[in-house]
Amino acid sequence: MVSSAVLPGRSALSQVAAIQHPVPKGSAGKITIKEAPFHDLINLRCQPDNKMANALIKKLTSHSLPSANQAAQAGDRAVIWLGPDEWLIMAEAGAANTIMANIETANLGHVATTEVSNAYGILTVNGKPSRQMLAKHCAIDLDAGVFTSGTAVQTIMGHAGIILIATDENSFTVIGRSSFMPYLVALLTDASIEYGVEYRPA
Amino acid sequence: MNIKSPKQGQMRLSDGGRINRKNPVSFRFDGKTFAGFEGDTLASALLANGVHLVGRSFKYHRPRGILTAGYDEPNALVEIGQGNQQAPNIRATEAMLYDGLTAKSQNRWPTLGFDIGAVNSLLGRFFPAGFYYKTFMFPAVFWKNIYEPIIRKAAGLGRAAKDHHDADRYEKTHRHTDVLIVGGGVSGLMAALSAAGSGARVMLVDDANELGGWMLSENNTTIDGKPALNWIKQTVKALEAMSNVTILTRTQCFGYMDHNFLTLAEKVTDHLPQRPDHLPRQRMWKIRAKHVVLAQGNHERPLIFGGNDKPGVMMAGAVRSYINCYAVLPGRRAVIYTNNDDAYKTALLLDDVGVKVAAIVDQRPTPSSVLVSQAMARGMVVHTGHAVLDANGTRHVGTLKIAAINPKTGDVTGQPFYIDADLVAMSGGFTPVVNLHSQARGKITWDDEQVCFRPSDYHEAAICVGACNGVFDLKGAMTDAAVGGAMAAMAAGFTAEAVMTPAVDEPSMVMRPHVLWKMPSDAVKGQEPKAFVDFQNDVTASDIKLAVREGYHSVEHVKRYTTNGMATDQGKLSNINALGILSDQLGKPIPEVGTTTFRYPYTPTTFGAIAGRDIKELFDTERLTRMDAWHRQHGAEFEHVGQWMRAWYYPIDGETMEEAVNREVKKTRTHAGILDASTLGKIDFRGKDAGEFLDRLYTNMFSTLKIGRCRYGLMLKDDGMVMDDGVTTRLGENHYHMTTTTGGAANVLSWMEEWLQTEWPELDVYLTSVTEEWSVTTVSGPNARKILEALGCSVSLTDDAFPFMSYQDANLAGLPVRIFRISFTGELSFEINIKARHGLALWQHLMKAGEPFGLTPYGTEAMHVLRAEKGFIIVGQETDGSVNPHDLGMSWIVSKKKSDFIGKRALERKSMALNNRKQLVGIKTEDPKAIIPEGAHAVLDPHQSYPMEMLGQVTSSYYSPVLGHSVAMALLKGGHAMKGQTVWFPMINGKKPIKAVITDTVFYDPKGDRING
Repeated sequence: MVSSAVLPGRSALSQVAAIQHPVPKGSAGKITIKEAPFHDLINLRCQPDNKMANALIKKLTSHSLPSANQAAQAGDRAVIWLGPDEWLIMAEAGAANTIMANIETANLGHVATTEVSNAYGILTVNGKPSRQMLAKHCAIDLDAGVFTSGTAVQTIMGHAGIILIATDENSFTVIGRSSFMPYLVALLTDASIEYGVEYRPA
Repeated sequence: MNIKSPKQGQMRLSDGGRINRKNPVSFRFDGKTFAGFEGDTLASALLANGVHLVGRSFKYHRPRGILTAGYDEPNALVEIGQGNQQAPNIRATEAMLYDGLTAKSQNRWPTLGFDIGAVNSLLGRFFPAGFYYKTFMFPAVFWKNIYEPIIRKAAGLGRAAKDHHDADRYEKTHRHTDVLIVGGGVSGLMAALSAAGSGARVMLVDDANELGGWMLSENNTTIDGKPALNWIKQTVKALEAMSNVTILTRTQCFGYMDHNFLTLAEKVTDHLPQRPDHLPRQRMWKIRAKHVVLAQGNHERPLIFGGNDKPGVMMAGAVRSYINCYAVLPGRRAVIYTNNDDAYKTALLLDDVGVKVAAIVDQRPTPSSVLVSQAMARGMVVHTGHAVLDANGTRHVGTLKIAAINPKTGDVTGQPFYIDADLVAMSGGFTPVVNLHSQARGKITWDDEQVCFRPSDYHEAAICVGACNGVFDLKGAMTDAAVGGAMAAMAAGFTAEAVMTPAVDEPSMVMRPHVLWKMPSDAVKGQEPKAFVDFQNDVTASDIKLAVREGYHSVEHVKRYTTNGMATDQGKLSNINALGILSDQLGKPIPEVGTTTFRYPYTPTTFGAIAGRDIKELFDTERLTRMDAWHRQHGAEFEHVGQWMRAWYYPIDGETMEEAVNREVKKTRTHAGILDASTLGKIDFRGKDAGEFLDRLYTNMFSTLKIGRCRYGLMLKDDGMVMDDGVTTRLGENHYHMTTTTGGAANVLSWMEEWLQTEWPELDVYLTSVTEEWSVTTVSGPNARKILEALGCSVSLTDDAFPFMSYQDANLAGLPVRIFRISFTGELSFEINIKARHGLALWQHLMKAGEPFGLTPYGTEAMHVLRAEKGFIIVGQETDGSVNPHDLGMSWIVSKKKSDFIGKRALERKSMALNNRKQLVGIKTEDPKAIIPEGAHAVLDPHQSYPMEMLGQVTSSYYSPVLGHSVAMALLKGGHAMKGQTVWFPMINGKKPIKAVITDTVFYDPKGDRING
């Protein structure tokens, strides 16, 4: 089967236009939200102590399977912990089929991969008050000393389930189901009015 | 606002106070313009202008003034703001003044000074406790049309804004903290110092405009040898400099729930003349704290005497606040009425600022302390062992009736005499603020020594400190708080040490009140003057006594009967006095009387803050499919299905819904229709036990399904009732693809995960939701095959090569797709799954290729008609959680071979197959045009008397344009055996009953020939 990623397509947010709110006086810093479309995503189900699987994942992504609430990134590829036996592999567009084939043919035992590149949308959130802004609709402890860089959780943002990853002190990746993405953009830009915000479509 | 600077009020002292004299501001109250300063509250600014009368009471419309200086204020409730920013019931004692503030008094008509409703006060004898319960009982028919409208009109204080589109923005936010300290007085500050020193994350919140609490109102206390205010300033500065400390002012903690979850309401811009658009007016904080320190101090209690609600009667502590914080004199000639030493501080301060203290009336027979001596030394007249019997004056207190009493019994023993005063500063003792502690299921204990309840056992990880903990002396409170703060940090996992308590010098005094629960009065029994216990609800001492006489002895009953402690008061001022009167009447000590539960919210909170941004377009999510833009461009009407927005029908050239749906249905049957079915739940099954797991989930077999084939399945709950349905396809040896209903997708996945994780962990099965990975387009109708062929399909679509209920990977228009040959319309049908990013492209290709073949987009309504014509059920429409497969006439799908599946055991009970269960049947109306409303009940005889014997109800009902008559399905008792019988559907609103006959559920193409085109 041809990888669909090689063909042009529309992202989860292709119908959402740019949004901008001015930076008011006294703002703690501007928030920038961008869509990061067309990464390949693979849902990986596997027992965490599967040594062969860990070795293969390390070969494919430079990291073995991260432990609870952690994301490991190297270059274009990242592995995100989703649950005790579930991870999300993020890779450059077009890489999913090869990675999946590698895993599926390796005889690793009870392991499954499912492509979910289209099922999710990805946003990056940057800006000094990012944590404050995200905390308006998220009950997770986002304190910089607790939700450190590389922390990844599945949680609720407003009324939508998301995967939230801290990429550094002021930067986050928000991954949500495609159909929720327009809502998430509306929610996060609204929560950023206090600071000033720019949403840029891909 | 264009107001000429008016003159500052005549009751303002020339210096002092914590107001900003450099920033004078104008404001309006009841249409008149006044002057005040930044830093004033509305209450202090009104008092500075000599305005005491600010509202009318709830029940009797009595003139009311300003009683307190804080959020415990029961009287001074006003409307603030105009138009769509108007807010009712704001406590004037909390509202920070700004230039242009506009306020109005409430509960008066036509004016505050002359109020018609005040006649209630004259009729007070006829409005006793329980008045409503007693009066508006009979006849019942009067309730709806007469009693309720009158009561509704009379009830409530402020008016909501006429313009319901609140112009303000409100937000919510979440915060985790190690230690949350509620109350920023001296105790809160000490606790914060100890806790913050450990490195713990500390939040310190206070309702007032600045930290310091009651100490801001005191003038005769030193800490560390300097005025207490210096210490407060220093401490606040030190805390502000610590990165682990968050300080919130103008923030009230109004709720304390389980697991140390607390809610705060922060007034972000309420105090600003121009509220910036980018900031919320108020912000609700949802706090999750490891440990909570309650340092809320105490409330001063009123004394109970006739006319104690008159404007000019104030709490003694509040008088000090107005003088020390706002440089405002609340009167010119004062009487102090007390049962403890604290009010003597007020007497001395009044004397300091030149207010004549006409007398100190002390209920105690022999008060003796430094403060008492000081007052006497200044020549003040102290009437010990005396009580105020009554306060006279129409709109302001004028004369007090005073007499000697028996200090033990409260009986009047002396000849009454009169003293003129325009200010009464009263103090009836102190009540630790145990409200939040109690909300969080903390226990309280009666402290007979200090005559108050104080916290005892904690339910949450919390500690009460300082006055809130019943420690009333400053040094003791500071030490208690320092230790409490450290303990809280330690409990949160930090190494902490209590900070040292600095040297403290405050007047030594006796805080213990001498309480008389019986109100001293020389009036004839039954004709005592109105003495208020709960000012906000107009509950008098007599009301409580009456409740007892009428048999209400439980404290909870008395509360409900009299409304004491309800509404905004929540027992802040009234609780102990009411309990005292109750205990006196019942002849039981207070601990035996008990207390009511303090309820959420601790103080009134705006709905705006509670709603936050969960309004309008952010109220809920609208999930959109990838083809959504096309549907909108082509004029589709939408319907909500779960959170999804689905195209409902596509009207053309002003078609009605009926016309559009009829056209879409007919065109699909005669040519072809195209449906966006992307919202169907889709779940990927992987693992060697996937087939076994499916066998246990569904009533029929899936492990025997051949690769590349599809099967319809029915899923039951463990009670044997239908839960979901859908088609599952075997993609590979250990690989299945399940579809679920749109609304059931998330539940079905959770349900299956629960079984896998908790009951059958031995099964090697992994589930992954792929609902949104695939966009799904269904092409249905006799021309379906031709359209796909015209588009260029890489696989043969003939019946032999691609039979019904099978699946193939293919390329369509050059795009990789999964094609499932399944049908929900009864027509030749292909369900095409494509990676979602290409969903819209494929849809557009299909529309183009389908044009010559009459391809018509149809929405969910036509889909419902098409499936109803075929008798296909929709879970959630034909089923409601009480319908099993036998009831649906689908016994054929229940495997008899399988040893088990979820719901099998329940389904095998005899009662599940009884013939009198409600069973699914078709309904054909006699009049082909009559469409029975869904939900209509069926009866055998429409002329029987009420209540009629009902057979069951219609679950689906549509007009079938293809058949030329309506089609309906219904669940009827014993329906399967009744086919051919006549039933009636009585209508409401005088319409004639609809006559119909019971039929089979399949109305169209019963042999199923059309499935092959």
